[in-house]
Amino acid sequence: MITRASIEVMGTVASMAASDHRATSEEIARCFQDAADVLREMDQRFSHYKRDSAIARYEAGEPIAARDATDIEYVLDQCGTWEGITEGAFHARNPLTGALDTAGLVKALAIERAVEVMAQTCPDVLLNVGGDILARGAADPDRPWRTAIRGLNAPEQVHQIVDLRDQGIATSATYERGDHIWRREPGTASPGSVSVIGPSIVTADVLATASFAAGRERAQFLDAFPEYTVIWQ
Amino acid sequence: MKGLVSNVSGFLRKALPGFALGGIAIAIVALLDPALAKRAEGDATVAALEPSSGDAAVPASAPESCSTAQEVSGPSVSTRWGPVQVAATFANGELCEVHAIAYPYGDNHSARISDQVIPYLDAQATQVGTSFDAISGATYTTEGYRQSLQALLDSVRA
Repeated sequence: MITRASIEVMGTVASMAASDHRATSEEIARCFQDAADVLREMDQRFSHYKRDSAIARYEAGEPIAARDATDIEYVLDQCGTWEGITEGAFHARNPLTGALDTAGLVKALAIERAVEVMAQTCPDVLLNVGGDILARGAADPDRPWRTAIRGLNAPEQVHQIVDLRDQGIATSATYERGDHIWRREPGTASPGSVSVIGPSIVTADVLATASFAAGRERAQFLDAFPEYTVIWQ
Repeated sequence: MKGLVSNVSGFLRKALPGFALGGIAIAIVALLDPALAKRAEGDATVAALEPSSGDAAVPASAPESCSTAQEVSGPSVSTRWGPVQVAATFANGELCEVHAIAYPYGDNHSARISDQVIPYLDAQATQVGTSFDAISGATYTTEGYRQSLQALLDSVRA
């Protein structure tokens, strides 16, 4: 049996699932609470949207706890490293405003940490935060965790089903919107998506973001990551 | 503002026989979990991770049927990605449907495009031989949506 829970965090929805074939329901409840705590702590530390987040105070030059400062500097360092690896296709600056924007990497890092905590007690878990997914173990002794990659042209369209075996998947995309639903902004990008699957959700997220930004012809940095599968639409 | 085709209405009617803001909030969150539409016998959802935000009263003079119900819109709420605004129709004390009428569109860098996953659930039921635990792709950003919806519901109560 699979137990699920959802919370709102980081401006999106985090959905977690656990199978009970190797964990009790009490352990699963504990795992879910631990994951929620990790996600909320990361949100409070890194949210560019909360005026009292550690990163907001860090940017304003205000004093923050040493633990927050260490983690912020770790994330900024990671963003810089990835910017180099992807030749600038991944970066932590909003291109319009120049403001710091670590949200993508932070989300993936939060997922990684939350799943690590959960997996100590619950071997079979899946965590989905805003479309980035990391899974450990299996949904069932006979069935792996299974994810769908969204198609581009309709909300219900499924492009591909991907089984995750101790892997993560991240997708960067723009989707077609019917005029009857959304007010389309001028200069909208044409639909497309990149999904990256591999052992690290942070790597997968960065590579998906960078590949989508660079485009298929200019994502040569992917060659350095043969253990990651890339699915383009 | 034109009315919209929505698969939301059918699902919400099943999920929300009453009308409660807390319930809607949880339902909206739940709707973003695609497997909830096809839960196997015996699956449970742990709902204890987030406090409920309380109930809203049923509108006193609600129209009779969803097809004739007037659309009411909530305020535009600014979020980290841009403005979000929702609209909804009510009939017989029930929420007929809710949809966003304005939503931000990200650039390639942030690629945090928000979209409506709700139609997935009805569609998922018709996928032949397909079942999955999660969807990878841009998913709904709820901040502005909930705020606009809450303000809309508050104004309908008044």
